[in-house]
Amino acid sequence: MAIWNVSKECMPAEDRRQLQDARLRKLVSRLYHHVPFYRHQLQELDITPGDITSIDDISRLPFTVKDDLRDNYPYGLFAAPESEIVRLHASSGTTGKATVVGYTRRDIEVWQECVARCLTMAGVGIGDKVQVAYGYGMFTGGLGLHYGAENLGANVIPISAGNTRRQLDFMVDLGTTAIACTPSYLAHVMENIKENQLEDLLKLRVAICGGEPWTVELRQKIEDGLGIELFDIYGLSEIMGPGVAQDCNQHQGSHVMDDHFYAEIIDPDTLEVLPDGEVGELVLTTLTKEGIPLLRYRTKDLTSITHEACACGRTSARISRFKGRSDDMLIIRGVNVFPSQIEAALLEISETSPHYQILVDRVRDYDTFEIAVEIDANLFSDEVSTLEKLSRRISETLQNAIGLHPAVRLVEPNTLDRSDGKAKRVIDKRRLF
Amino acid sequence: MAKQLSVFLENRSGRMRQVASLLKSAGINILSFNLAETSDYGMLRLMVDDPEKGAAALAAGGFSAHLTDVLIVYIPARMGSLSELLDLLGDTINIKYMYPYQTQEPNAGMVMKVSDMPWAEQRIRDAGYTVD
Repeated sequence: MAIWNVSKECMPAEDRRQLQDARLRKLVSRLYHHVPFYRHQLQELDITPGDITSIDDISRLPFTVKDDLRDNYPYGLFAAPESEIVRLHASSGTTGKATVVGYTRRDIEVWQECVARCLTMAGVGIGDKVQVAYGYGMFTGGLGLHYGAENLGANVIPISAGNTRRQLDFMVDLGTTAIACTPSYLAHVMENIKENQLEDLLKLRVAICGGEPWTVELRQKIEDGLGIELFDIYGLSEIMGPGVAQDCNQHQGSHVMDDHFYAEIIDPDTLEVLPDGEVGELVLTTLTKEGIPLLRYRTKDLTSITHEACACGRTSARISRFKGRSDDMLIIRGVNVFPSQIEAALLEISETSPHYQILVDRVRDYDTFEIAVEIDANLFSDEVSTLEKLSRRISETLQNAIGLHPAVRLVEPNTLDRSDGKAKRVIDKRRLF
Repeated sequence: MAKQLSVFLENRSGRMRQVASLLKSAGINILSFNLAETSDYGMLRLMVDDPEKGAAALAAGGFSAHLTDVLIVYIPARMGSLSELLDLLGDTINIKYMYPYQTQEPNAGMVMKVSDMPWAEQRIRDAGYTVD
């Protein structure tokens, strides 16, 4: 199968290290001189740029966490002047405040290069019709795949997310051969294809899925159901967006684009770097990023890493399927949700935060999102219309805060689980890891 | 104004029976009630002989029970009297809910909650009705 960039993706290990050495030196120097946040951190650790000579020195460098982006919102961590930024994206933060990332022209080039590599890994090439059914907008999914597919030379169908009926019409009429979307949405699309008996009218061959955790079982189900091959694309806006890593046709872990993003696995408690094969938190350093380069960004995603060469010919590091997260973030329908955001939104409604419980499940392969709220003295009304208004207000407030519309269920006091006296805020019945 | 016992009930089998059982144990007599239902929950509105004691008994049993001000209006137990009462109130106030209360010959009781309680109470009294 074709490889987009043999000289980079199949580099001998020693050459790769040398490239990483040089890029890390440049990165540290750039951060030291352009980002006061990092300069102060490095100075506190008594590190000057000259001290960092090889990629092995990376373990001396400080970590970056999502809160650092929030604390420096919106532009505090930018390393390039405004005049060089050509794009901004955002994702949700732990307290409801967004984190903003910026890209220079060069960053966009690297991004579309990485996505082109991923699409090529999935067997997509010139002439393929790629239906981009990720959301376009501040979310990186839609535009990330769009630019990558264009860079590759595929026919891009920029349909964005939702409106399944229209997705199916274009899929049939235009002869879509590849679709990019969240796996749960693809499962939903598959059901609609089957209900409308469109299987024989499709030319679909592959799907590039990501944006949320998914099971091996779901992958198998869609592959069998549609007779297509699925690829697991990984990314996060803080680092770039989709295209940080993806599995090849061997499906033995995801290749990290580690000429651009250096991957380490750490013990989330001791913060020590773990050897190959051990499960820990994935930490990524953006070796070439200009807009908002990050040192050792803690993704909170749990996985393991291997540096063995892959049968596909690529020599990049590979990460295994995700085993979970080291924080309480939920990914619902591809949207990052922190329980703390929900708590903050509920505080707007009542003077004290009510007892609530978030229930997430997967019904017919689609995420359901329900919030149960106990009716206490603050929320009580003897009028049903007032209670219905309350439900709607809770739903709308959460929609504004997190971008998802939950089903709201009002329940009697003291009926939600308080194991060990502590409220159990989240019940996630999906078995994703 | 009278006190109504308002109870939030989830749509679960047995909840109504538990309310009745708790009130029975506390020696509370139910005089009238109304149950409004939605797909997830119901609102049970009860007129009882001792609302404070009833609320305490239900709260102790884990229910969300609160006291609500309502009007009890006695109208003649004959054809047309409800229409006359509502004509008196006109269209400027909104009736949140109403349901029948005990009959005291020759009158029929009516429990009401409206958008402007003091105004409604005054107007009904001035027209010569008995209001509790």
